[in-house]
This record gives sequence, structure tokens and C-alpha cells, in this order.
Amino acid sequence: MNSSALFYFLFTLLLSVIFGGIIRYYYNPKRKQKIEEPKHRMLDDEQ
Amino acid sequence: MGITSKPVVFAVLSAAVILIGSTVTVFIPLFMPSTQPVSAYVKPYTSVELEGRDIYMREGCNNCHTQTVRPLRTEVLRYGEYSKPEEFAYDRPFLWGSRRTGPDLNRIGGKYPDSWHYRHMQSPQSMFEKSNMPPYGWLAKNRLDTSNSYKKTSILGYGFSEQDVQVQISQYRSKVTADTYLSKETRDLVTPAELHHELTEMDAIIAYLQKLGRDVKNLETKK
Amino acid sequence: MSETGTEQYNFKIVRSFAFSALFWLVIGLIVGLWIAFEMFNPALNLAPWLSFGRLRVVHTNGLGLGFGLAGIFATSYYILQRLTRTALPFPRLAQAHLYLFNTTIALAALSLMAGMNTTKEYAELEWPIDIAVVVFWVMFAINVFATLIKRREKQMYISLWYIIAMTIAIAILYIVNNLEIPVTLFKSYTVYAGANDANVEWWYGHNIVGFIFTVPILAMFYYFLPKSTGLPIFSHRLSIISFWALNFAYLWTGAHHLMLSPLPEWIQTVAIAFSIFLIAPSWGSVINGYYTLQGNWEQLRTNYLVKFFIFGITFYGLQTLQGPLQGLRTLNAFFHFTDWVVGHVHMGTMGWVTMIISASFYYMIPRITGNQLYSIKLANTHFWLILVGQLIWTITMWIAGIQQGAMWKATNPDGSLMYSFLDTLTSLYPYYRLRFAAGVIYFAGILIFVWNLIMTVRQAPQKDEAEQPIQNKELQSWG
Repeated sequence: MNSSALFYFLFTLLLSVIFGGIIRYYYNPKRKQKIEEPKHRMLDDEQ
Repeated sequence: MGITSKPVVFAVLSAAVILIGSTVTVFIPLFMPSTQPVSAYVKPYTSVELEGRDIYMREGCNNCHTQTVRPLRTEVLRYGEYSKPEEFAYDRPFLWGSRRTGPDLNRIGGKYPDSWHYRHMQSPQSMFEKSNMPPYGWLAKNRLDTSNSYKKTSILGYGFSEQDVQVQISQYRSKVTADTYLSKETRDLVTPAELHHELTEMDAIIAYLQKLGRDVKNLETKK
Repeated sequence: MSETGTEQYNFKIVRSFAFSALFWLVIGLIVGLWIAFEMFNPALNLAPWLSFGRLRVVHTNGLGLGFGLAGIFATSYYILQRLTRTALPFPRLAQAHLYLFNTTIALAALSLMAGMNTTKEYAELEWPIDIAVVVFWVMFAINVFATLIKRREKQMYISLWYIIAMTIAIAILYIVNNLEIPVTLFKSYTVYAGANDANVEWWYGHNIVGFIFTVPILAMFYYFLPKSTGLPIFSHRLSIISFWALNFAYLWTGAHHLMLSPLPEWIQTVAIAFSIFLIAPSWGSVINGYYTLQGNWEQLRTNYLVKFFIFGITFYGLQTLQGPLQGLRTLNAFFHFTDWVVGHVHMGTMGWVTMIISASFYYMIPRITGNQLYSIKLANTHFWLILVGQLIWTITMWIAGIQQGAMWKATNPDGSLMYSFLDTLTSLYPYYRLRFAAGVIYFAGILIFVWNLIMTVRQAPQKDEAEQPIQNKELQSWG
């Protein structure tokens, strides 16, 4: 494996880990209630 | 909860996220000489060619004609040698285009004599009945405005003195208005009599078209 | 002061921008029909300012910047006030924004017809107009951020994130790509040369499409779909993931417009990789849209607005699959520079963008005028005409593109080219005629749309039509 292929691989890995981390954080059942709240609130701003 | 209740933080974070890809793929390459290499064989446009290029831009020729031959077999067969990065070192802006309603022009220089272009610009349909190119005969009725030519080349850093620019303009005028000019007959046909001894916009755009790809062709013939 | 209920939402500005959008939509489409006709009948190039090369940019700028931006400003001013439960802090600034915007677009159209054209796609405007664009953008941004800072709703709903991202991204893209050195008042040269200029331009060109034709349209989609159906969006957290992934990945992909060009190969490769990744966040929004209607699909029949949203997001889904595929080197070698790409763009603009803006206007205009929509029947006719017009339009161009690409590549057994360039061009004229006819159908739909909204406003009561008190009962006071 040459150095640029290694670099591409590590970069992809890093991005995947960050992406996975964000998904894990927001999909944690503990936070569901709070994260999903605005979608209900936005429905009742009308007169 | 988190950043969705902090608009300023949210905005800063958005900007940061947006700037990462921009920096890596666009801003950093700006400072890498390998993105746009410069080669001695590629010469900047003369003032007349540059004025022609500005007319090409003004008329939006780039909306139908590309100026990049891709390294594909049939494309090289159709247009000629594929485009090299160094050819574009003096192109501000680049005119690669995105759509080929008409053929690619990156190798048009020297392909046809000037007379072909005068006739074709005057009336594309007279040469190709089914062509959908707009006629540009009116360019021959406009005297070429060279009042900003020096300013233009100096902004672009072509390194011409004011005198160089004057010489380029008068030389090209002498060339196309001379009795010995090979395309004289066609030029006189499309140009109004009062402009026979002046440079027109048509002269300039043809000068520009004849420059496209010439440096590459010259290099090849030298080899 | 705000607690007393005397503060008023400013919906006058929403209405003004909405009708500005409709105006530029009609103008842009007339120009579009004109140049579509020129494609098979060059006799229509009657004068320099009517020639294809000059008019094509009037069409793209008129619809992208005129219709698109005005539609975005109208809906953003509405969504912002509603979701924050806060009146616009600087209504006079918004009014100035409106005047400057319309003046700028008018001058833009005239200057392009006069041949003042920098040739950088979707950034053709000369430097004085660029400055005007930046000024009205800053005016808009001030109201956006001031409203958000003053807001009475603690959490920002999805649509607001998209509006924030758009406000920032467009500013960065527009300024960086339009850095130029003036020669005269009407002429300038870009500061970038050759391959760098190409790279900057397509970073801009791709993302201006992203942040005008995707991001704010998603803001509308995420707001008006739940509002017009009464159904909460399927998943707020999915939208969070989609949002950040989209914003991050979009900016890497501009060079897929420059495949096989003299641009360094690594930039092209990175662009393809991120383009493929972009399918994920794009489809995140598609899934969110579809699942929102889960169990309530009968609304597609009973609620005339749902059609616009569901077909719109479907075209968005197709668009975001087609785009990355076109970026792949082998497919790009075939399709690039052909009419296929023209078809691709128009599915996005005529399908996704226009359908969502249409539905958003149908939702907003009756509410801010306090009146019923003039005719739901006409709205349905509008829908079917623009759907059929768009489908014929894009499918025709896809077929034309395939034929064009194949003819360019075709060789005889001896290895020589089978068709001249002109052979290929003339074989496309039947498609160009059909495309024009499809455009007429589409335009008829748009005229009905405009008529419907004009009649809705005209029958509205003239007094206090654009002002409604803010409901205080559920307000959270904080800050």
C-alpha cells in the first residue's frame, strides 16, 4: 500500500468514526424525547 | 438542548463544517503550483487576441462551445490532442464550458483559414445549412475598441508595455488590411467599406480563435 | 413589549417577495422558451441581445437568482417569524432588501442582455451587480440572525438550521468565486487563472445549486409538509444527521463537474467519493418525507398540497441518485457535455424546486391574506400541467443525451468517426422541438399558478391583511 492510499484510508476511517459517533449520540434512546420535541412544537404555532 | 438552541454557535459551526471541504479541495490547491502549471511554450494572448476573447465572452460563446478536449479516444480523433493544464495559465477566466451544442474549440486555431471564419461567422447556415449557430455578421460592423487594451493586459500581468500593445494592435491591423492578406476577399465582403482599413470586432474574435491550441500545435511540429 | 400581544408578524414582506418570485418566474420561463426555440430555429437570434449566448444566462440567472432567491426570501421570512414566534426585528431593512433585490435582478437581466458577462456559470454578473447582491444578502442575513437571537422558541426546528446554513454558505461561495479586478465599470477579470479558476467556479457552481436549490428548499419542505398535513416530521434526529452530513460533504464535490479535465486528478477523485456519500443525507430527507405520511397516505388524494410535496421530494430523490452516478468517470465520459445533463438539471428545478415553492406559496398566501385559496381545482390543474410538462421535458433530454453521447463515440470498423458533429446536432432537432412543446405545457401550468395566487390576493380584504398578532398563550418567555 502506498502512502497516498494509506492517507485516503485513514481519512475515510476518521470521517466514518465521526459520522458513527454523531449517529450514536443522536440515536441514544435517552435523548429521544428531547431531540424529537421541536417537531411537535412547530405544529402548534398557529392561531 | 445543545447547539440547536444556540443560533450563533450553530452558525459558526456550520461555517466551519462548510469550510473544511472548501479548504482542502479549493483553497489549498490555489497555492499549489501543480494545480495550474506554467510552461514557457504557452504564450499569453496578444492584445488583439485578448480583445477577441472578451468578445467571445461577451457573446456567451462558452454557453455552446467547450474548450477542453478530454483524453478519450474518439474525442482526440475528432478534435485533436487532449488539453493540457499548462495551456490555461493565462486564461482568466477559464472558458472550458459545460455543454457542447457546438463543437469543442480548444484546437480550432489553424484548423481553417481566416476566410473560413469570416464566412462562417457572417452566416453559419450558408456553410452548414442545418447549423443552429446564431449569425455574427454584425461583429464586422463594429470597430474594435482598443481604448482599454493596455489596462487589460497589465491587469492580467502579461508583461506588455504600452508600446508593445500599440505595436500588436497596429501590426494586426496592417496584416488584415493589407492587399496581400490571404483572406482579404472574404474579409472585404463581410466588412462595411468604411471599416476596411480598421480593426473590427470580427477581426479580433477570429484572431482569438486562431490562437486556440496553436502553442500545442507549434510544439508538436517542432518535435 | 412583546408580552402584550401588540407586536405583529410582518407578512407584507412575505407577500411582496412571493409576488416578486412569480414575476421573475414568468420572465425567466419566457426567456427559456425563447432559447429553446432558438435551439432548432436560429432565425430567432434576431438581435445581439436576443442571441442564444446572451439569453441563456438571462434564463439561468433570472430563474436561479430571480425566482429562486425571491421564493427563498419569501418563505424564509415567513418560516423564521413563525418558528421563532417573533416578529421581524427590522421590517424597514426587509423592505429595503426587497427594493434592492428587484432592482438588482432587473439590472442583472439588462446587463446580461447587453453582453456584460463574466462567463462563470451562475456567476455571470459583473462586479457592480455582484456588490449589490452581497449588500442585499447582508441585509437578509441581519434580519435572519436578529430574529433568531430575539426568538421566543428555545429550540430551533430543522428549517431554521437550513436557513442558517444557506445564509452562511451563499455568502462564502459568492464572495470567493466573484473576486475580480475591475477594468471598467462594466468589465472585470477574475483573480484566478485556468485550472484554479475552473476549480473555484465549480466549487461555487455546484454549491450554489446546493445552497439555493437544495438547502432552502429542504427548509420549506420540512416546514410546510408538516404544517399542511398536520403530521409531525417522521424523525427529527434523522434530519439532524442528514443536515450535518449534507453540509459537510457538499463542499467537496464541485470537481465532479470537471471530470477528465486538466484539473489535478486527486481533486476529481475526492469529488466522486463525496458525491457518492451524498446519497445518504439526501435520501435521509426523502425517507423523512415519505415516512411522515406513513398511515396517512390518503392525504395524497384529499389534500391537494401533499401531491406537490411528495412528487417534489421524489424528484429530489431521483436527482440525488442521478447526480453522483453522472460523476463516475465512465458514465461522465459518456454523458458530460450532452443534453442528458440539461435534463438532469431541469428535473431538479422544474420538478423538485418549483413544486415545493408552489406548495409553500399555496400554503402561505391564503394564511397571510386571511382568505381562502381562489381555486383548488386550478391548483390541481397547475400540478398536473407542470408534472407532465416536466416529465416530457426531462425524459426527452435524457434520450437526446444518450443518442448524442453514442453518436459522438461511434466509430467505423476502420476506427474512424462515424458521424460528423453536425450529423449529431441535426439528429437532435426532433427532441428540441418536443422539449419546446413540453416547455409550453409547463409554462401553461405556471400561468395558472400565478393567476390563482393573484386572484387569491385580490379577493382578500384590504385592511390589515398582512398583519396578525402573535399568539401569546403558549409562549415561553426567556432570554
